[in-house]
Amino acid sequence: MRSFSYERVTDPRTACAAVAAHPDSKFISGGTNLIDLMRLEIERPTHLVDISRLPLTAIEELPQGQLRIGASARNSDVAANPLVRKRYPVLTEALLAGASGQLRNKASVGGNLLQRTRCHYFYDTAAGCNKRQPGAGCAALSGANRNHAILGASDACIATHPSDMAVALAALGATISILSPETTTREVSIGEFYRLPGTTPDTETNLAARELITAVTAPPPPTGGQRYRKVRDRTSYEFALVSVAVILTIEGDNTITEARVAFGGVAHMPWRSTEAETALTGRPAIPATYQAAADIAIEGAVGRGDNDFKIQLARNTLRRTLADVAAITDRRTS
Amino acid sequence: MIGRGVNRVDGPAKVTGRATYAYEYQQPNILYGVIITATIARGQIQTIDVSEAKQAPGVRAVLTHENVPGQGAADESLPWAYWRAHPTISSADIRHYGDAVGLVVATTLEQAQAASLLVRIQYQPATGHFDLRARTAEAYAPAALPAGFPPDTAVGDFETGFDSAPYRVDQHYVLPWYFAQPMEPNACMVVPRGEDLFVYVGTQIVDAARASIAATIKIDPERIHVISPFVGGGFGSKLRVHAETILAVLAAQHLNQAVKVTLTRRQIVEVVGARPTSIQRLRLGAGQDGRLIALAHEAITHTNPKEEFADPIAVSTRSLYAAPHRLTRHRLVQLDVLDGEDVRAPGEASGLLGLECTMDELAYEIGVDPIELRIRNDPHATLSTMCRFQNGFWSSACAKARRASGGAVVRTGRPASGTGGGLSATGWRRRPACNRSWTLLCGCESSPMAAPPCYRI
Repeated sequence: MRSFSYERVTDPRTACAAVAAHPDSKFISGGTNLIDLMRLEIERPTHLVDISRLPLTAIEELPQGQLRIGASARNSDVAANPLVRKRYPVLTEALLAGASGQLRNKASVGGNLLQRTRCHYFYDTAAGCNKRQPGAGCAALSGANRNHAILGASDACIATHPSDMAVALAALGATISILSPETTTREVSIGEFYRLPGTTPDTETNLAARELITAVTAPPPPTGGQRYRKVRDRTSYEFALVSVAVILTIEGDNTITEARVAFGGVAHMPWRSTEAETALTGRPAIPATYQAAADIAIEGAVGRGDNDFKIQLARNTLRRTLADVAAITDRRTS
Repeated sequence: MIGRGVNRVDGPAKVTGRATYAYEYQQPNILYGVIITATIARGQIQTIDVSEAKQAPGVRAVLTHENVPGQGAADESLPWAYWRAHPTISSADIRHYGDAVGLVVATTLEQAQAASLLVRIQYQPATGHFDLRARTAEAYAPAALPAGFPPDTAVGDFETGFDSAPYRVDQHYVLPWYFAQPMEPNACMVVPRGEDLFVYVGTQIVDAARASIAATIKIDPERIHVISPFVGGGFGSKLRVHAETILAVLAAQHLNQAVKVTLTRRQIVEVVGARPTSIQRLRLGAGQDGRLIALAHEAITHTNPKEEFADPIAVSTRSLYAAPHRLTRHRLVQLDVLDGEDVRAPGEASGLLGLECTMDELAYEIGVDPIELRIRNDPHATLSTMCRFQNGFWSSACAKARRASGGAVVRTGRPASGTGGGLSATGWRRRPACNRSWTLLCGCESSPMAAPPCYRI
């Protein structure tokens, strides 16, 4: 680990200013990912601005019924929050499917969104990685790529985003509040926040260097059932091979009137499938509908060898999760 | 004691965090070593530039093949590798990816880690072989398996028996690498006192650790004192000492100061050996009555060219089922990958998986309950190996298993459930008990496997 200087800030504007004042500086919150990366010298900040004590831990309902979660709220607190559990169970399920109890106690919401990929080659400083070292090539393309992306990848990078929480937030249509030193707070959707790898996989989000995530806001959820299903090699402390967040609203005549579908483990970002949502909406809640949605969601998927199985796994996972959610969803009578 | 729950004497210490593991021991003026591992799979170190690392804050020594003292060679005549010398960073040759190539010793762990990244190594890569499937044509029969078992056995005439069987299953099972990941990564602290070295290390065989260290650094074993109250999880990975121990010993000797070294989680899969990948072919032939007529279990695994390792995959098969025509065969392919080593239940864990899955497939073919199939193939009738079961033991064990699983195993609609069983057999050679007890100086109560251990057969 390289030596670095450290300061602790107590309000968000000072945090932005502190980062702006030091080149090569970084925010640190829970540190569950950053410290590992610093030990391996994959991240080499010369200055750390500790934002873990910012007063951004509130989880509150807004007047219009949205839920606002402060960026410093701990993952474990969000998962256990009664409002989240009651109205956004998909978010609780996703959070509890991630990491370990100890890590969730440390990890913040903002940090969860910004965690780096777990691609082995990103962590192996002896291997080529365009994300770690632009222009160095991608060892995963011809290497062990069982965990890698099948959607939206490029020849420069096939890494996946590791977050479970972000997948649920994508399905919920959440927005991210960003504070920058020059302007007021701006709001971006999860889809606008993340970037596909393209030719610049080192740039993972549209967050500028001096900007700070202050909150995540989820709109009131659609009525009906929600579920997060995570498929992985072992049932705890492991990243997703494929995960799915599903929300369905179903009318009394068994017609799906609203659907939300997002995948994890398949792309460089949480992968919301509006195509699958369209294929479900207005259709009866029956297996043929789920199959059609699963097929369209995964259309255009590309396997890279070891991860070829993910294409069918993603279809199956969505199909099964849709059936599960339909089974727990009360039919709405209008 | 059989059948009674007995609390471990060291249980409370372990679960309350009072048990001290190897890396947790402290000494005044302790130094920390960090191992550097190779980033090519085969070849040679052309140049190794330690100048920048030596200038880094806190660095006390950088050991590489260029300055490490001469070490003893492994004595192949010793039956078990655990007792042999384990020369480390002793040459410029790289045998596999992750081979240890150096040690940086500094005042703090962080300083050693930082300096380890400043060692610049130029490699001359060589062509190697890494793909088991691509090299099966090069497979050879080892002279013997561990504990002297023959690599091949044959009873009757397998091919003819198999061809004549009304029910046949011919299946391949491919098992991936199997790594031990103990709770405490392999770690060691060495304290020099006069001519003696006090070695705090988690080891499964204290005597082997001492013998291996002494043979490596070529000193009288009486000068080595191994303190190992807790193994810290072994699963085979601590049957022998590895680079962490040898390099801690070498550094402590070189600097005449206490040094501790631990592998990182990642280094465990680079420095410690593992159970190699295996390709197993299982052929089972049975009659209408479900009795096996022919059984063949053939295994191909890989070994590093330097030290042969043959996982005894089909050895348990030899004594598990009766069949008039039987065949087992072990073959090895040399690959330039991590060393093979014993990992929990060597042979059984890998071989029985292949055999028992194939037995389930045979039960499905015949349409018989999978446990009933096992009962019909009680080995007592025909086998006269050293592992003879008591008459009736087999059938009663199977019946007990069936009761425990809630009666006959019934197939359900899903292919994955309710269609299988699994038996396991392991042989142990009984030896006279070793009536010694030790009171450890540190006051911890534990009994790591003493020498000689009960060898698995």
